[in-house]
Amino acid sequence: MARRALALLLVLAGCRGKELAKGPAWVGAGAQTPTRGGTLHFSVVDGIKSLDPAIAYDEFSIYALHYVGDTLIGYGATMSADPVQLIPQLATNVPTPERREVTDPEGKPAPVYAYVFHLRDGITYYDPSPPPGLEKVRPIEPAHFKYAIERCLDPDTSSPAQGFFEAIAGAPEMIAGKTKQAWGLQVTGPRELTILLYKPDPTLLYKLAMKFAMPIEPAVVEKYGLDGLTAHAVSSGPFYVKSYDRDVRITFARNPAYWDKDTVYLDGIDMQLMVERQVGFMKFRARETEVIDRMTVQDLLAIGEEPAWQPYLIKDQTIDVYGERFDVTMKPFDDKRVRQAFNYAINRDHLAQLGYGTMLPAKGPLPPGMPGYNPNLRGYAYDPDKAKALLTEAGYGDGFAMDYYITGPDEKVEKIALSVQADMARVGVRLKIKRLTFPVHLAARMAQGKVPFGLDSWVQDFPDPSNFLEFLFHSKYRAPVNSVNSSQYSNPEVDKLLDEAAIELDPDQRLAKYQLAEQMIVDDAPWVFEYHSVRVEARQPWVMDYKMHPVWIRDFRNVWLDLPARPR
Amino acid sequence: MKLLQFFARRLGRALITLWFVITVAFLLAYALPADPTKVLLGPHPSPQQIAKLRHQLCLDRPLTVQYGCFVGRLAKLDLGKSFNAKEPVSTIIARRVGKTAMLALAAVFLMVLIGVPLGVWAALRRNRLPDAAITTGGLIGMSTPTFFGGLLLLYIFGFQLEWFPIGYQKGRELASLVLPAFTMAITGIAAYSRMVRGEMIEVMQEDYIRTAQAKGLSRSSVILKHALRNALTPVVTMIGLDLGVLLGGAIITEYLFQWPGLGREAVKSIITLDRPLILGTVLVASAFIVIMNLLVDVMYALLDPRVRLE
Repeated sequence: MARRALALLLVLAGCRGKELAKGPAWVGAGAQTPTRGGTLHFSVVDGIKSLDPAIAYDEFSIYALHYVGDTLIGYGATMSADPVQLIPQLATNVPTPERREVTDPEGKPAPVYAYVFHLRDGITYYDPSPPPGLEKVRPIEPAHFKYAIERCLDPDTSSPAQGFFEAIAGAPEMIAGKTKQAWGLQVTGPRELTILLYKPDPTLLYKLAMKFAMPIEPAVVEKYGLDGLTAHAVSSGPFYVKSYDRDVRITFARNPAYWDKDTVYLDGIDMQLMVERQVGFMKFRARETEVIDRMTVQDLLAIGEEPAWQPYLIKDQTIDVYGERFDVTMKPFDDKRVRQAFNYAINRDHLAQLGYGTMLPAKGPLPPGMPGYNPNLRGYAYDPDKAKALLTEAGYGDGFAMDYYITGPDEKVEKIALSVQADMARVGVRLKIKRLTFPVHLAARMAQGKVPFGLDSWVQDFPDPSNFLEFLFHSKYRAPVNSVNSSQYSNPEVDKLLDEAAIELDPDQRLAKYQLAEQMIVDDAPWVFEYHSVRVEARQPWVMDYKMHPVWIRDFRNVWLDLPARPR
Repeated sequence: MKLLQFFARRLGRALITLWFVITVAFLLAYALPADPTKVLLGPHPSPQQIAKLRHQLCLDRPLTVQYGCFVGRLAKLDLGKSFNAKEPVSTIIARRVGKTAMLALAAVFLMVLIGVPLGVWAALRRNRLPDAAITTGGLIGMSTPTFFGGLLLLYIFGFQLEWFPIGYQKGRELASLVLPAFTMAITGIAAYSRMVRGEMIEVMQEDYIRTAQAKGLSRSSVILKHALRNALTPVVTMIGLDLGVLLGGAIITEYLFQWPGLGREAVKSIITLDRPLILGTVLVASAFIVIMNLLVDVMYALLDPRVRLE
């Protein structure tokens, strides 16, 4: 009866050959070389928080900022398998630090490392509705980079990027609110910016490639105020914001004054915000959007197993780590053997199966694609007997009961939680799953002594191991609340290695230190490192040369549309 | 005079209800063991930054002081500024309330337009096939979760048949309105038809109907002029109450159909712990319910003088 009813519904619905098995119903025009024009549409599951470069830090705000803002340097890589390489963008060079003797503002001699950037000629902002007295197209000056970074440091801005720039000379004084400028940021010529550091920071260049360091004019901030930059975003990138309806839609149009015009083929980008995942998939299949990610498991399976769709699927590694973290200050996890027992008891291969190709089992925190990734890292193989033995040795042979904190609702998280629960039950640990909303979970897991065991994750800011290992495992990032080092892990030897690596200028030696530190961390087991994500996207056949960027994910430089699309 | 007194008494009660709701919402929003600054400042803020932002957002003061601040501002009709959007909450609500009202009115219109005739038909064909079909259909309609019903409508009429856009499209507001309005109306249609059916069956057995029939009035005249008019009184009440609820924003429907109304703001504010916006949307939603209740009460008093004596 139910089947008949469904058949009737489908007949009523006209069933216009929209089965996935046939593959995409429409294809491109068949152009052999890239052509200009067309708007690329896609939907995302959430809104964007801010277009203020000093504030925006969530995934989708960064998508948007990436379209409207360039930085001094950018990334040469276009997918995770490419070697990480920095390339000049608004600057003409990627500087290497030089040792210098200078005098600080108090007149004392200061030995520093200097990074000298030469700005490209002819780079401009594009501001479609400029404030009175200003032109639409305005030059980008070295002082604007200095100002952008100082905005992040200024306590009044409440920027999440403050800590990234604290190595710059004068930054700590600014952060403390003692000064309004950092003397280590200097305009040293009409097209020259010099950044001075007391200690070398091999990650400085990555930080300058983050959108926090996009140039910004003081006049614009003065005019529109601290909260006005989302409504009035000025473009220094390939596109500008054409319209914005918060949590509904943001559209971008090609920047007519862009310096690197040859890499931009699209006329515009249409980003639909806060679209439910299944609705997003329907939009994609109805050709309303051109790329789709974050499909539900059933949609992913439906499209992922159709041979006709294979050429239009894009799979790539995301640089992240997911797992369960212990609070190592709480019983019984103050005992390393208990933490190791959990690591042996949880079956990562089974977890990966639950992800249908979207999860790669992890051995440690660093994912493949990250410089310093160690394929020979000693992790934990699934071994319930060993887990049981370790628990017995630690005095928990009879097992114990414990709360296990996850966020939700999220189908992937739920499945993982159930699998972990079953694995642990096998060695006598009875986990009681507790679901918390995201903000509550975040606050709880970053506070000491609240969540003994629960879900945690980290996604890269920039492709350098320090970004994972320092924040998550250096003891200086421990705190009673808002602890970035959420496991409260502390190992003086690891700290020492991380501190040495942080200022090591020889790349090979630096990565070797990180690998050593990573092995020590894995041996100490402050987390159960479970998996790294693999992102699966589908594209319409007329979206050409699209790859998943290892840092920006949705990068549409060099992407072109083979239009007009036609029925196959 | 009596009516004025009645109105004043009800208004007083309505204000107390609103105060109660908003106080509970305030306590709930603040009792959550989470820190909005954490959501705003990202994964690695310094303790100084957190302290500063907490101060800016008034979070470092005792609960009673914060509550005092909140009520004081509310008295001046100031709902505060959204933590996330950095805009006054009143601006956000003003921008979205029109779309929510449009959706609510369309949904109630469909409920009445479809539900009432179905109810009448079922009553007239009592215990026969149409009645069974409408009653069963009504049961299914009332039990269909919005999320499922909405997706099904989207799949059939948006994706397969391409009659309506999949989600909200600017410039095609009316076409975009049909599916979400239907989604919201499904439950209502079922409820209205059940209610009208019951009322009609009851009314049709009244003496005055028999009198009308005995006088030789036509069947349609008896049904429309005598029976339906009396059966519709509770429907008027229900329209008022439904409108009150729906005007506060439909969380799931608006999310599913990208409808840019208050419901989406409400969801977003809760996910991001945007307390001023949470309280703003709760206040508006409860104000609509209270106002519509008040209107229904007053209308009843006007229609039926006995109500005032109660």
